[in-house]
This record gives sequence, C-alpha cells and structure tokens, in this order.
Amino acid sequence: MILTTGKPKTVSKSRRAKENIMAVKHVDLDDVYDIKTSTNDVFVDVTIGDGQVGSYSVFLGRDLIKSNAPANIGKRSDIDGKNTIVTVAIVDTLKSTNWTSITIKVTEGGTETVYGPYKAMAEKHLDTVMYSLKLINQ
Amino acid sequence: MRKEIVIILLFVIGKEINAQDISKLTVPSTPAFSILDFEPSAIMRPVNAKSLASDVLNSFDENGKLLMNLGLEVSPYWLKSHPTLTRDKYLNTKNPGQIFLQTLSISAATVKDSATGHNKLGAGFRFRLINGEPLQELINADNEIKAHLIVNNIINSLRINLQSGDTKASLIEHVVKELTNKGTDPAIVARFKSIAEARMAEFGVGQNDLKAFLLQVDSDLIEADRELHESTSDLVYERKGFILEFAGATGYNSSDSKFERFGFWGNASHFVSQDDFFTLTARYMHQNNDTSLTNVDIGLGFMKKSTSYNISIEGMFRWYRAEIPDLNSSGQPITRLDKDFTYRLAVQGSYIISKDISVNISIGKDFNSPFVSRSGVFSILGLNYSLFSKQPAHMPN
Repeated sequence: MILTTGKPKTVSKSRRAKENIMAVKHVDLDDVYDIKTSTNDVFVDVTIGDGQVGSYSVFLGRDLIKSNAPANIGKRSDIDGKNTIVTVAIVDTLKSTNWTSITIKVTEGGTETVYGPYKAMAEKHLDTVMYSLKLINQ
Repeated sequence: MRKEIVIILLFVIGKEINAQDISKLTVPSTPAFSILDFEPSAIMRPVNAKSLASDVLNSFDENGKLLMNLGLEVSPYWLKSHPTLTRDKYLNTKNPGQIFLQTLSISAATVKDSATGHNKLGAGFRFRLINGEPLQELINADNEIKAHLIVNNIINSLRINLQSGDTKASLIEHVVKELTNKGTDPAIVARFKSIAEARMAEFGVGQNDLKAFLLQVDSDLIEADRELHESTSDLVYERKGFILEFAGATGYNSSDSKFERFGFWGNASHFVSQDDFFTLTARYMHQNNDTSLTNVDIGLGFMKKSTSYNISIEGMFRWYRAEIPDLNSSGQPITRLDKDFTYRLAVQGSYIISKDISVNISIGKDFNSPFVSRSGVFSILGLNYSLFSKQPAHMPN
C-alpha cells in the first residue's frame, strides 16, 4: 500500500536573500505514521530529487539513528508514542534550476508509506533548503 | 595596485598575427548570441515557469514592441521539479534521451545593428547525447558537503523538538555528543563547537531565543562552506570522458523580413581533464546578405596543460562557396561565384621557465578568404616577464 500524505506546516526564511548571503530556507512539516504490525522493523529512507546534493538524517525523539542511508527505527514497542524526525539539508548547486525536493518512504514488512514529494525552490543559486518532517508514531 | 611589465618580442611573418583559439573548435555556449555575433547586455536565465513568463513579458515595451539588445537562455527540463531525479541519476545517466532533456538549452537574442539600424533576432538550441562522467573532485566535494550538512540536520531536529530545560550549552553538548557517537570527523565537530560558542552571548535563554540561536548557527555553518558550495557548483559542469554535443541557430532580419544566417554544429570531444582533451567539430554556416557565403568546416584540436608547459594543436578544414555581386566588363551586374577549399593549422606552446617568466610560440597558417588576398602564414615568438605579480607568467590571450 502506498500512501501520500502530509502538508507543509510552515515555510520560513531564517535569513533574507540579500546580495552575497547564502540564504537558508526552512520547510517544517508534520504528519502521522500509523504503525502496521508489532513484529516488523520500521525503516525510513529519503530520496533527494532534482539532481541536487544534500544530506538527510533520521531521529527517534532526539536520538540520531542514521544519516544518508535507510534507518531502522525499531518495532512498535520501540517507537509507539514517540516522534520520528527526518531532517534534510539540500544545497542548490545546479545553475539550471533552483528546485529542491524530497520524498520520504517508511517501510514496514511489505507495506510502504510515502510522504511527499515535498518541493521548495531556493530563492537563488547556492542557497540552502532545510526540510524537517515530524512524524507522530501511533 | 598590481603593476605588471610585460616584455614581448615579436617576430612576425605575414601580414596578420593570429593566435590560436581552440574555443572555435567547440559548440558555442549560447548559439543564438553566436549566430548574431553579439553578446547582449542583459541576459535572462529563468529557472522556473513563473520567471520565464515574467521574463517574456518584460521583453516587450508598453506598446507591445519587442525590446532590443536582450538575451534569453532557458533549459526547459529544469523549469519544473523532478523529485525522482537523484544526484546519482543526474550525474551518471547514460540514457541519451535523459541526457538530451537534462542538457537541452534554448537561447534567443535581439539586437539592433548599429551600422544599418536593422533589428535582428537570433534563436538557437544546444544539447548533448553523450555526457561523459563526473570528475572525482565532484564526488569528493559532494561527500564533503553531505558530511558537513549532518550537523545542520541535528541542529534542525533540535529546533523543532526543543524541550524545557534546554540551554544553549546543553544544545551544543547534545550536537557534539551525537556527532562523536557517529564517528564524525573531529574537525567537523570542532568547527561546529567554535561557531556555536561564538554566538552564545548574542542570544537569551527563552525558547524563542534558543530557536533563533539554532537558526543562526545553522546559517553560520552554511556560510562557512561558501567556497565548498561554489566550487562544487562549478565542478558539476566539468565532465571527463567522451562528450557528443550538437547545436543550431538562425538569425532573422526583421527589417528585411528574411533569415540571414543559419548555423549547425556537431562536436565530439574526449576529456582526460579540462586541460587535456581532444576535440572534433563539424560546422555548417550560411550567411545570406548582399553576399551569400556558405562554409563547411571540420576541425580537430588537441590541448594539454601541465604545470610547466602548455601545448595546443588545431587544424580546421574549410570548404566555402561565396556568391558575390559584381559588375562585368560591360558594367552589367553579375554574380561572381567563388568556391574553394582552405585550411587553418596552428600550433601553440608555452614553457614556464620560472614563476614570472614564460616563453611562448605560435606558428601556423590561417584560412584563405574569398575577400582578402594574403599569405595567411603567421608565427609569433614571445617572452613574458611579469613583475610584481603573484600570478605565474602565462600566454597572453
């Protein structure tokens, strides 16, 4: 089963795109993950699109589980009631586009839940876009 | 102020000096500008559909007339987002269709001819079908960026998950602990700590202050990587290996309502590096003014640069046909036809004797022209001496 859910909660700019400043745009998102089984491990992975270079990290609560590789966050007993936080930082290194995008996949057994794709445009070349997705596990 | 004294000794045979320009053996970067032989003062490069629409609208005055001396370059594929196009696919795809989409650029230009007062329009395209492979330097730079951005990821996870009892010091300590636990390069950890601690005194202790503190450190870390991001952006467009590229352009004279020029280019290059490559170019150019001139050129070039010497070799073979309005002996108008084959050969080398001194030599033969009678043979021997310059001596352009 593939689900596509989630809407941006806030989009803010920590620094205005003045000349010569590499601005950082933040896209903060919220959603819910319904745990499907008690026995299967839950994996979280991220696809960074638009040919851009970026880095992602997956947290359970405040604990960093894994960066730039699929993260096993555990079974229902490990994650129920906790937040999974996915943060992605993308630098716009392509001169031909300012687009950035991410797609987050949560896999549990044979079931895949997809969040996104979320898209945001860097205001200017070489700016950075930071995505944060907070998933409430229930 | 930098002062430079350059002493050049010239020994010239022939009527003109012609240094070699291997760039003529490549496809023009913006064919529409090239066909008009004009570099617009304002070039619009929209990166999304909205800015393209805005740029097109801004190209007309209040009376709906197209403005002159404008340039437009757009890559249609990149106007919309492509969430499934990963960095790996983007850099390493071998699919000619995907390479065509990624590299297709369309250019247009308008210019008012200062001599005739005529308005001219140019339109062109350029694309690749084979795109070599990325440089190892880019792979390394991408990996470095990824490693650095993990710090920003931890900072942002804290920003959206602040807890009562958090302080600036505890937040810094948490980031350091997470990085250390994951075996992060100690230099990255130390850099974060130094940047974060330098900002501590500027922010208060409330939750909003802590968020502002984290945002500031986040921005500072990005700014600290400015050079890395800039150089990476340049490296994305430098490729090695075999590259096959095509371009075309046409020039339209709106005052005479006729297409004046057509040009098509095809180029196959093999890059060992940006300073060491072979290139083969075929070019068809047609001009239809008072005189009609058609050229078919095939050129071969080789260039190699090292720390102590540079060498480049260029050969270009041209078949031309010129139709020139003339008068016969009775004073009646006729069209004189001139068809011929000509070629250009050039060898250029420079040897760096020391940091400030280099010896340069160019020898070769330029094209014959249906309009100018000359031998075309040239040779240049030069000695460059740079005084008060931190840059090593180099071949003048």
